[in-house]
Amino acid sequence: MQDTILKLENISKNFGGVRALRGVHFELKRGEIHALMGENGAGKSTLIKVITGVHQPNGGDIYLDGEKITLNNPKEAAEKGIAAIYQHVTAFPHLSVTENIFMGREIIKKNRMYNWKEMNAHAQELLNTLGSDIDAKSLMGDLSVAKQQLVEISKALSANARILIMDEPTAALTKHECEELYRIAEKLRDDGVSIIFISHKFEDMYRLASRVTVFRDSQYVGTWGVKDITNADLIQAMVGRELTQMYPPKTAEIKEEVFRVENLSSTGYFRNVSFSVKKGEIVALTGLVGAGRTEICQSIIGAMKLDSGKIFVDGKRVRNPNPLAAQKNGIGYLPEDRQLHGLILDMDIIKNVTLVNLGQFSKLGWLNGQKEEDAVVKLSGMMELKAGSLYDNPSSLSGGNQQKVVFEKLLVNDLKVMILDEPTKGVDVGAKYAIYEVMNNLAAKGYAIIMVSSEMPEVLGMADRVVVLRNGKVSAEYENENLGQEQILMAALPDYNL
Amino acid sequence: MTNSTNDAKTKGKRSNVFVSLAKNIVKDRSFGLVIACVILVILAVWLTPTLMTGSAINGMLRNNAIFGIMSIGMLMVLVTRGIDLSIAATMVFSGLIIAIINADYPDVPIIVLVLLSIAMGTVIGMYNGFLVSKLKLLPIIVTLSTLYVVRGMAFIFSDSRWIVPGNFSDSYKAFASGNILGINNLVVLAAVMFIVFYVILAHFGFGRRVYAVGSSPHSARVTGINNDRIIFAVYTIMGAIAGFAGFLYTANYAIAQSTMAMGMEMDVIAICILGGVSINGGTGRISGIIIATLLFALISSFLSMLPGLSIWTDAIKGAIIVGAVILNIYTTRSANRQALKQRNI
Amino acid sequence: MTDQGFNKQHRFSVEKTGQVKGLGGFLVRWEMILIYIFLLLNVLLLLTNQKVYLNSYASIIHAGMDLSFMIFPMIFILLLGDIDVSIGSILALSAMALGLVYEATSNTFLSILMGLIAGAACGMINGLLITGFKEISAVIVTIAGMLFYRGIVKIVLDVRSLTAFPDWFGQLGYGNFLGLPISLWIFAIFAIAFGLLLHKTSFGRKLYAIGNNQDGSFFSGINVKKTKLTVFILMGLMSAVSAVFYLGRSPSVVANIGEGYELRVIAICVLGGVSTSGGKGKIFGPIIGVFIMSFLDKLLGFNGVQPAARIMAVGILLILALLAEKIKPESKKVAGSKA
Repeated sequence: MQDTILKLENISKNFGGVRALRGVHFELKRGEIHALMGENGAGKSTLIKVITGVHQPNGGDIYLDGEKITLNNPKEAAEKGIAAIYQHVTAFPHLSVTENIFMGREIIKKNRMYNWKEMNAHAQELLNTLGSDIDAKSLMGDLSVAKQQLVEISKALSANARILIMDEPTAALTKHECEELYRIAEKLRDDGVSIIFISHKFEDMYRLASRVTVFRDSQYVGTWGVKDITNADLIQAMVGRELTQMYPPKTAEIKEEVFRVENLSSTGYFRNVSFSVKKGEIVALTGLVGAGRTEICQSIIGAMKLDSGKIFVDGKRVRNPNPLAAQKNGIGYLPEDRQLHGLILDMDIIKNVTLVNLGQFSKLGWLNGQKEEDAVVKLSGMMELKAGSLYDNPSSLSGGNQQKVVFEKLLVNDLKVMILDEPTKGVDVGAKYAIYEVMNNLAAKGYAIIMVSSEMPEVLGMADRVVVLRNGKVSAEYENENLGQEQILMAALPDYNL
Repeated sequence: MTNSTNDAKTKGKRSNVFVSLAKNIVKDRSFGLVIACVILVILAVWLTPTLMTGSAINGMLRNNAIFGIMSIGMLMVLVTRGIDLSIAATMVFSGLIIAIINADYPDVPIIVLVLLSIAMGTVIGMYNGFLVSKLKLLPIIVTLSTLYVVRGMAFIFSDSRWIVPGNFSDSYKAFASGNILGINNLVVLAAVMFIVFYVILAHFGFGRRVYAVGSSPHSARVTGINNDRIIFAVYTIMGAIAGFAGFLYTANYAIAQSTMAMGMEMDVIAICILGGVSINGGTGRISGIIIATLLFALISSFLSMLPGLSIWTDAIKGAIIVGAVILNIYTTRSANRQALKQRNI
Repeated sequence: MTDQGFNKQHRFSVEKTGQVKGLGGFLVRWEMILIYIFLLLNVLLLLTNQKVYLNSYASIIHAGMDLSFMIFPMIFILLLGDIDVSIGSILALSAMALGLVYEATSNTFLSILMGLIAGAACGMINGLLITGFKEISAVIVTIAGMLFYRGIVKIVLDVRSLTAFPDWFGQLGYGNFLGLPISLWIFAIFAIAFGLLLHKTSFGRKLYAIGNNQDGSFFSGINVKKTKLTVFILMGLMSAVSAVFYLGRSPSVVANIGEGYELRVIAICVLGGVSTSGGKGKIFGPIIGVFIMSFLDKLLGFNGVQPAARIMAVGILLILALLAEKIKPESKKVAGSKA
């Protein structure tokens, strides 16, 4: 019978008017691996920040080893043995692995000088114990993401972490690297470390966790033994509704080929990628994170360098040295990071939309504000955009509506192909349906659509064809007829033999 | 340069420091700088043999020691992603004030003047540090403004007075002209400061935190490092060094007037960039600064000794800065490309 | 998604939510505050030196006009989130080019043309370096440029000075037209041109977009490199224009002319409300700033403050302007987006 090492009771956290956590509960038993699941915005990250002392709760209590505690800053949490590893590694790229591991807890000699000899030895030992070949003296910035995560784990171990939180650690790893991570997590558990594991992947949960907790809409939904709950029930818990009726019906007529890429390569990212898309077709580009999908898209539109390969639009070879050229060649891109690349948050909605073709709204450079307004009003109506005023900044909109603004940008130019990179990322489940409707409508109008997605259900629900990428290469291509998640997953795994 | 001592422990510590120093020099492109130095020395011996005498070399090292000392401070500022254009103004201002005091009140002990000079530089450094770290203003604009304000102060306080060699007391000038074991005091001082700061930057918490803040300010904050305090300290130290240099400069040249050392801040920046310090922060080694100071000294001597070439100095310095930055970029890019190739895709 | 125009249910208002409206809002806008400061300076001048002030009003304006032409492209550069500290050196280089050509050919048109080309060329070098490498920053390039361009002047001129210039240059520096300085008229023309360029054209729109989010603009199809290059070339060009007006005031070129101008111009822009982090600022503020600067200079000059110390005031003014920017309430941003 395991006892409880960490308990959070009735925790609430507000940011201005936003309630990120509403009276949530969480209980971690000693020596268990506990999965925390939920959609984006469900509150998982905020909970983690409360546990690691980054945020202080507005209400509720935290108990560590049965004693009530307060965590006023990350340092206090670290001193109590709580450590976290995030998807985006917070490290010092110019400093060595050793220094990264010991940051904040350096071994210091009596004369106040750093004891490099001991720290290097200690760090190397830790890395070797975890089964890694990383050289402790190498620079953090020279390591791959997976290796950096290993260093982070070493760091947590070196700090004698009793509670380790892993926030989507497998998102950027290859299957092989995932296996490594599973092995390490299991070893840590066997050594007595209690682990909270956040992941969108059911596989992670099945492999590692004994119990799973679900959050939804900033609230606690429930905790179950991993063996005691089915996938469908879990999804039901996360989403609050059944899986069916999530995707609008498709009405598009698929016609002739309008877009093709041949043997696209970019050193270190992808190699010999080829596929084609027809008018009215939705082709999904899927695979595990790190397979190179976003890099392929960005290379196609010219935001990233392409080392070799050919791109054809309507049978004619085109070259896209930059996104402007891609637009002119009829290829549009909906960026994966909406707030960073898709929108300019300090400019109003109208200006954001017209930015993609200022020439259309100006004569010899002189802008016609009325023409801009009229066009965007029309587009926003088509999109059923919910906004107070089109002269507001997009920062005031919800994720789903922000995404609609980015879609409006795509409609300004005369495009033939639309590349949508994770079009429903960060969008509420309810708003996702609206985006799917938009996509189907665009397909019906004759656009060729490439959809990059990490969500299997979405891929199966929307795509006509599925292209699966594995480690930068195309591993399989399927028609979406009687296609199952398992098939796609197997094609995405590095061990699968066609 | 090592003094042999009877204490084995300190001897061991010092040799460790030297071993790691030597390793650093070989590792990155500082090696290329060493080659450049060697080439220039060969050229100098060939083209101007009469000027490559022991005393000329001593003079060259002596005059450029101050550049080296200032570069130490600038190194730390650049590592934290900042910049300080006001250092020459600070140096001139502090040096001018104490030179005037020395000229009018020759009985004031030199040590008092030195401390005063350092203190004035420190205050100016604290001012810069406060604006950059607490008020989060851009370093280039803050220090550009300070440059003019302090130069203006120097002008006002000196009332356009020129302090010439005759005005200085002998004890004032003594330090700069003295020798230790045949090597000029200033050179020894520079060497000592290089070693001291090397140790601080590589082996002490404060130094490591400077690099941490420059490498990733966000991670530093999360780790519990007080970024503001580190950045404040870095500008303050720069100011203190500049203040100290005020004494050294005026003692060395036995001249003090408000328009001297114009543009010296550029020289110091050039030395740092030449020495491999990245303007984007996070990297920069004392070993690189040492070699760059030497290289810079050689270039300056070269230009001043060959007839008609001294007017080329500014243009050449500007070109060196740009060239060094571009070189740094290509070095980093090829390293990144290597890392990408390793990904086996 | 509906196809029949827009759904009446989603009619959009045309007003920005949360704007401070009404006369009160107008009176406390930053540009109005600047006008108050300008009026205050006039009052102070009137009180301290009434006779001279009234008689030489035009000359006060004359004195501050030469660098005024550089503020327009500097506004653009700051909007982009960059900076240019080499403008004083570019001014010197252009003036030298102009002077040398005039010395050789006595052809006014050709000399001015060569001066402008020299300035634009320097700007182009700056721009090419900055846009050529994404890792390079305008800070270090223009610091090096500051050194390099003036370094060329030192090489060519050494210790001598150029003093041969067309007589009518003096008109630019001291002449009036319909009671107002000629330089002021020309400044006004440029102000209108650049103002329209910034606020009414797609080029100006691009500046704001890039300054607010460079990557986002890139993905939206904006040619960021071309825009930046253009702006830096403009900066060099206008520095050359300022050189012409400088020569109008003082027809002599030595190696150190224009020193300190970069500080003044940046100070004027920051005072005028242009943010140093990019993306914010309008044309009107810096225009008022030009006059604040020249009247402040005159106020100090009347009270016996020497030129070397007057630049000190500019430095202090710049810091005060930066502090004021920090204290100013930000434009209202509606509470954060829901994920």
